[in-house]
Amino acid sequence: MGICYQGKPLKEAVAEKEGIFKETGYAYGLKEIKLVESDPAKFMRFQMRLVASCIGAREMAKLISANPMSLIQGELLFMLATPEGDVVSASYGLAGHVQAFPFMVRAIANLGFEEDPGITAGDVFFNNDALYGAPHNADCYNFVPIFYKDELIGWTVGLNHIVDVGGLQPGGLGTISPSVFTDGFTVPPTKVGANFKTHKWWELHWKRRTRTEVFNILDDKMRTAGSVALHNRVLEVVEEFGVDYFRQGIKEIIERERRVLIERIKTMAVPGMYNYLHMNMVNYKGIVGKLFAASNRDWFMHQPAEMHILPDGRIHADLEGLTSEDEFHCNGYEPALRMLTSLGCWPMFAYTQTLNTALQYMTSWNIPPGSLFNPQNPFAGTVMSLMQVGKYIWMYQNCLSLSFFSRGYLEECFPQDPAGVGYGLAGVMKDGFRWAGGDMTLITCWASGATPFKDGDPASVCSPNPAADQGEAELAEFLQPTNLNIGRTLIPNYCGHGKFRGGLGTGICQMIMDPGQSLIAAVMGATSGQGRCALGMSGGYPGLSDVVYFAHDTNIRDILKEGKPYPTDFVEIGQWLKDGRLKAGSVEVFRGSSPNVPLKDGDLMACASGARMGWGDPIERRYGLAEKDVHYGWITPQAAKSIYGVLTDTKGQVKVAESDALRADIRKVRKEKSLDAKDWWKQEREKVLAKEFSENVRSMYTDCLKWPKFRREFMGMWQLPEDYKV
Amino acid sequence: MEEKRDDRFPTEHVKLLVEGTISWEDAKKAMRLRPKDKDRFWKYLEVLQQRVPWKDKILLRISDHLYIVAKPDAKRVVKCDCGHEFGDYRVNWKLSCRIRVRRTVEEMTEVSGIEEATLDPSLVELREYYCPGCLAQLATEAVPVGYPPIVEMLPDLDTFYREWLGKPLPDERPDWFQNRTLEAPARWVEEG
Amino acid sequence: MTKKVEQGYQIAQDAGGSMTDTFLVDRDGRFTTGKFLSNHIDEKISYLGSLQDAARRWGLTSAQVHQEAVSSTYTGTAMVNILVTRGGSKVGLLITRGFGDMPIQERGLTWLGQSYEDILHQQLHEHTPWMVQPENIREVTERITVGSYYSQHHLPAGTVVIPLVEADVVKGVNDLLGNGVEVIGILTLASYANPAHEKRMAEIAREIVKQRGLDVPVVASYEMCSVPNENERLKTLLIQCYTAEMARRQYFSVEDAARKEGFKHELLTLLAYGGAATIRYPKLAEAAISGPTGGLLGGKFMADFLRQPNLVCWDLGCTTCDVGLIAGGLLPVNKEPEFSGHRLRMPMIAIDSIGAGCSHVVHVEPVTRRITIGPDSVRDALGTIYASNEITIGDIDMVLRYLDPNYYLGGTIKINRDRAEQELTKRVAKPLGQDVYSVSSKILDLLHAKVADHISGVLLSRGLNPADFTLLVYGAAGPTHLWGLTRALDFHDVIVTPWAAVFSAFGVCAADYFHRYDKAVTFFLAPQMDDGTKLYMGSAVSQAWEEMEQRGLAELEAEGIPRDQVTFRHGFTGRYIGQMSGWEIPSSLARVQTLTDLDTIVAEFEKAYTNIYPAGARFPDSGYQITEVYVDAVARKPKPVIPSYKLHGKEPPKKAYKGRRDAYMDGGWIPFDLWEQDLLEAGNRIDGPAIIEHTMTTTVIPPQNYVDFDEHRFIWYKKK
Repeated sequence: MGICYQGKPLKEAVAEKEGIFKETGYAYGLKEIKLVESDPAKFMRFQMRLVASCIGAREMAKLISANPMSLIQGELLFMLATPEGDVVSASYGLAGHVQAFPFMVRAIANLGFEEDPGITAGDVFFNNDALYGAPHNADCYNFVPIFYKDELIGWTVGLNHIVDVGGLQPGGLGTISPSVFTDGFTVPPTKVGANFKTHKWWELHWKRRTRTEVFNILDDKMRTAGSVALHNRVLEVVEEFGVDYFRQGIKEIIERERRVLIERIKTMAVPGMYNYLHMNMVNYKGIVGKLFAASNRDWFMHQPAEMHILPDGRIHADLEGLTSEDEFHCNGYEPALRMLTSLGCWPMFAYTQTLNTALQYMTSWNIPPGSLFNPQNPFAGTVMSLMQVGKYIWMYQNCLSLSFFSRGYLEECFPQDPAGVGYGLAGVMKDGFRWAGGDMTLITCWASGATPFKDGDPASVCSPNPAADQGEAELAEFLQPTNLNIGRTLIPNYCGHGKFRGGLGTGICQMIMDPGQSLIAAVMGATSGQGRCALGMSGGYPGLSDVVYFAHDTNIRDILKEGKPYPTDFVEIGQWLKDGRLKAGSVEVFRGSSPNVPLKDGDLMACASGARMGWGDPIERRYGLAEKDVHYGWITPQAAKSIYGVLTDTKGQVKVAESDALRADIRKVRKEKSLDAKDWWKQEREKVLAKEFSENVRSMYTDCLKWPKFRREFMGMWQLPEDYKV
Repeated sequence: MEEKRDDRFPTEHVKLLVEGTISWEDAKKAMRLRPKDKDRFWKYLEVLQQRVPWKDKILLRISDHLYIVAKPDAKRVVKCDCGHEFGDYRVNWKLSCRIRVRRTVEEMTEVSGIEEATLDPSLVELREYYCPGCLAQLATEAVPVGYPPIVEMLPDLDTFYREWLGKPLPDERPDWFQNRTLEAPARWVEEG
Repeated sequence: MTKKVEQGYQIAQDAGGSMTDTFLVDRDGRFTTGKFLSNHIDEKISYLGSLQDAARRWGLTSAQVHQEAVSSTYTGTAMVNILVTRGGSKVGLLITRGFGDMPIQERGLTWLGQSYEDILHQQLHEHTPWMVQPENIREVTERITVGSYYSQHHLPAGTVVIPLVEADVVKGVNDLLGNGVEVIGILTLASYANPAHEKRMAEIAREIVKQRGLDVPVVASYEMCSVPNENERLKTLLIQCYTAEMARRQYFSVEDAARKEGFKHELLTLLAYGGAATIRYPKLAEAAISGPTGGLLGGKFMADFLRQPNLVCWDLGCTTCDVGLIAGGLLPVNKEPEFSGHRLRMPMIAIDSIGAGCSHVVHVEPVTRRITIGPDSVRDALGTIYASNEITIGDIDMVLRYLDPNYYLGGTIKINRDRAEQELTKRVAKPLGQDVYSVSSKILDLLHAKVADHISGVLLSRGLNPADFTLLVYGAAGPTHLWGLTRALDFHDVIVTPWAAVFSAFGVCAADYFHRYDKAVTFFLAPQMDDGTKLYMGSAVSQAWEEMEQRGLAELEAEGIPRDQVTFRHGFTGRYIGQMSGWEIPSSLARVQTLTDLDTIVAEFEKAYTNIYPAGARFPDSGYQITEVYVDAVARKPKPVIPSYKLHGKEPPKKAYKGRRDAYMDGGWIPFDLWEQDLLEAGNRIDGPAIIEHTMTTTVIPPQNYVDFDEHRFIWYKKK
């Protein structure tokens, strides 16, 4: 006798759900959605009731949290799911996770949890294991079954992003981890509580296996309290509408919302094939040494996508050519890919009050086994899988932007490229007290990219956190007293340039202050080497790289004693070091992530991110806009000249005649410095034949050319002999 | 449906949107339209057709300057608003551009403005694709040396017009939705 | 009826977006009301107009009222309008070096006030218009520590790490004055932990202003709010700089107008946290969002008057659907209120607005059969019944015949019911394949559920139960919809006041005269601490309370209130060490001196916390922290008295009966008796189905319900 409707075992229910969609093409095989059609208004009331319940649970629970990411930066979510795991409603917050939970229920079903440990009313389950559906172990899920009489009628789920996962590196965003054994605290699905509360032993694990016990314990309490509150609210709704309406209604929500999404695509897009590419460096060489020999190298990640908008309005992405899985931190699984990429769907076509899993039913992926996102090694490291899967958020946004642009819905074009720099800290203070912390200022709020009709805005959007928020520097310091903030600025020229430019990115600058016995920082940066994106939009340039800048052994303390000013972003630090206003023993600059970096008193640490892409040919930028840029110091006069072909006088006014002439010259230069396509092809082909590749590029090609599709395109483009090897 | 004009977002506003001069308030109105104005595509084509100096029928706009247009002899070619033609839309139009490659930090910083945040030349080159006619910058790519120029978009025009717009094109053919990009290098190698 | 008055009138006015309401009380507490179209350019016109309208009902002139008045409290719209029209003062800002872009970045909160759908639809995010131009921002080298969670192991709060470079200040101030700024704001990080740098910068600035013989006010952030979060402090500071002095001029013009008519006192205004204060009050920014506060103050008054400490206040108007909560007789306080796209740091009576007013738009997506209400509203255009092309809730009320097209606002505006019915049929019923009346009434269910869910959400998130609460209904449209809400949610009692439409003005009149002070404190009660340290922590709280009491006495004295007439209320914001948010709790103590006192404080916190959360969420092991404390300095102020009437029988007088009208409810047309509210008497009982009409409101009573008019003519809504 199973726990699902009519005594069906959970495992069967899940298999049946997946089978019937494959057969019919409708979620739960619902060709008709009777409740919706017979009485749409009542159904809407039912649906909004469930949404309100989730929001209520979140508002109640979030205040328990000790974690600024949860409270201020919205990195938490409460959801209601069907017995099979499809999320039917969710609160505000980390919206993407509605895509990941179904995999978790499938996992516990297939693991036979129904028999052992058993699934009964009042149980509290936990999972943060990527192999079983968690995007990565910083995203912790607590979930509670909802029983009506003896029937499992749904699940309530609380999830949030914790500060530290007890991994090789401090924080939750480690970028060095050869395998799951170095990822940190990873717990496969586990029953951690009964009677609607977690067991005492569970707290011990947080205490012993992570660096920020108090924060993590309070977060765990928050997730449980919210799930339980939601559980009780849902049962009230069941009473109001009757269990039969509820059972049918939650399925119809998924199918109806699937139709909403299909309709939006068919209205705004153009069917066809679109391409996307992102590449970035992952650096391990010389960091893990002999201990992890296989990881003692660098990787140039290759993340292509051929995205198809199908005649029936569904979206399919083919990732063949993707870098292979390996012994690093950024392998990922399908749940992580679906979870994070859905963030690119919300702004483009999936925006709705009623978050749910419907996307699952209108998007599909080809992820070849053995590739980065389909690792065959069960112990693959995934602590920062999000770093790589996240790059496909912008596949949706950029490909759909081009599509909407072609269809005429320019207002919905919202191309963006990867952004986000965050760090973890771990230290021992003067008195031997061990502490750790992390910061998300530049992860939870970015500038926006340019659109076909306007510039992007500074500090205004964020894919993982739609309610963009930098948080408060005063609060950040309350939690990281060693990092004194001396700048949170908009950096001049720091944007993707174009006819319309991206919003200026933000830089934070910190002076290390009395770290005590030791302090290390590990910084995660979304970009590296390649920059933000391989493709600019319509002749605009991609955004500029993230920057992580360390100046060690500086004389900043002396400078301050003399009553002189301090630098406020990495560009200033660089200039001051050049002109001698500042001295440093050594400087480390990363265009993205850094390894563990030890810090001393008076060191400077400056991070910058969010310089998003431009749209269109920069020399077509309206003079009025360029003038404003120069006036406010957002674009320097030199950059205005070299990038935008705009000359300004001492008062910052555009010199129109001279600028017209300059732009004409730039066109001449373009003519001189460019080649006819065929000549260019010949030239490039010679390089390919001569294999003039840097080591990183060579190893990338070697890996990716084993995938037939990419090999076909590469060989065909350069017309290479069959036996060509890199 | 399409025949009837949806006055909630008039053609004048579409024009301002295309010119990039629409007021933020009107732009927000467009974003909040529920449901969207179903006849937007037709208003769009009308506006675009007025803006170009030539008469060929625009089938689809694929970038600021580029359009797929119908030619009398049942061809569908990519055309710049300056009038330059790039040939069959099934072949990546980038292979009919003039191409500039920036390979050094100096060359790249010229268009990034900040050296520390500029691309790493040991990994990628910065490609700029220009229209041979007007030398407008049509596309940029930051990719490793030897990376095949990326086909940004290949629309399924027949499905689009027949099934999504309900107005089939006169010259439908099964082979319109095909990526024929590789025909170009094949030809070049023959020509030597 | 004319009236002889010895002691004097109390005048209260609530100037809203469209109407300015007056609530006029005589010395016996009897009252009358007045309305006048709000004049946003010259508020004295609507002030006098609205008062005149009220006075007329007693056969008086506004001058006669003014000459005999003991107080006049006025909540204007000046500040909102200054923001909307961007007509504020030219502001200069001195700020910690490296943070000059804060006003542009505004922490990235580009979505405040948006619906969740729009928040996800990030194309719609937008920054607020600048209150200070980048040209008028100067940075100053300095840094002070905020203190930390690890304070025992690292630098204490308020340590000067980078000394203030005064040369920067001097140069900055001169630049700004050179640019012709009209007011200078000052903000440094951590000024709540140690205001030394802000204080010194203000001194220097004021000195230079004086030397240059200018009249440029200088405001430092710690003077506005001495609490954490630099962005919120900055917004509060900028609202003060940008709007306060301009708004004050408007208030003065109103006061002059009153004085000219013989008014002898200072004009009072209402502060966001519910206190009344003279318009000369320095921190006038605190009056910025007093609008909806009035209603809740009225609620507080009713809660005391009815001895019902638990009240849900529901204000349903054309463009507003506000919900406020009075639990245990306490007004809820929101310390980070939002105000036209800005998040501020000042105490405000907590009110939630829901996009569910009568002018909110009903959206239907035919293909997918989704029906949604709001977030957009057509405001005064009402809907297709009047001047809009959008279908609104108001349209539905009219189509289902709850409202009389010929008696809308007493028949003063022309309503087109037929058009609404045509549009609803064409754009909602047909596409959904539904009957127009049945789908319309179900859309109302949707609205009522939305409000019900919000209210129960608000209650639930505080661990409270609707059944313990009385619903107080006001606003022009509240009485029309209360039947639906009370079906979706069970309250202990439901009550409507006879002056529902001007209830906010009534609340303004009922306001206490008091000032509130908030201060951040460092108070940790860690388990391993010795008693000495604990007591030392306690003394920090006592000191802060005493400091604020002194400030209150001084400020109130300056406003002419003798010290012996001032009383205090104390409270603190507590949490478990490590938690990010705290809970504000009134304290029974005014000082913390003994270990027992500390136990009392802890007990008060635990009690409040476990009211909200399951015991499992407690975490005493980590210890306790107090982040902020507050003091209310309260002075006496005359209050309205609710009049009592002679009780008549249950049988309503014939003259009040207006006939019958069929209205649609529960899937069919039902004949409703029609009554004229002003002609019904204390003690009457009206059985449903009935509709009670009034020039400003309409109360709908289904067949299953009835209402009683008690001796105050309050309307009690009940189940048969």
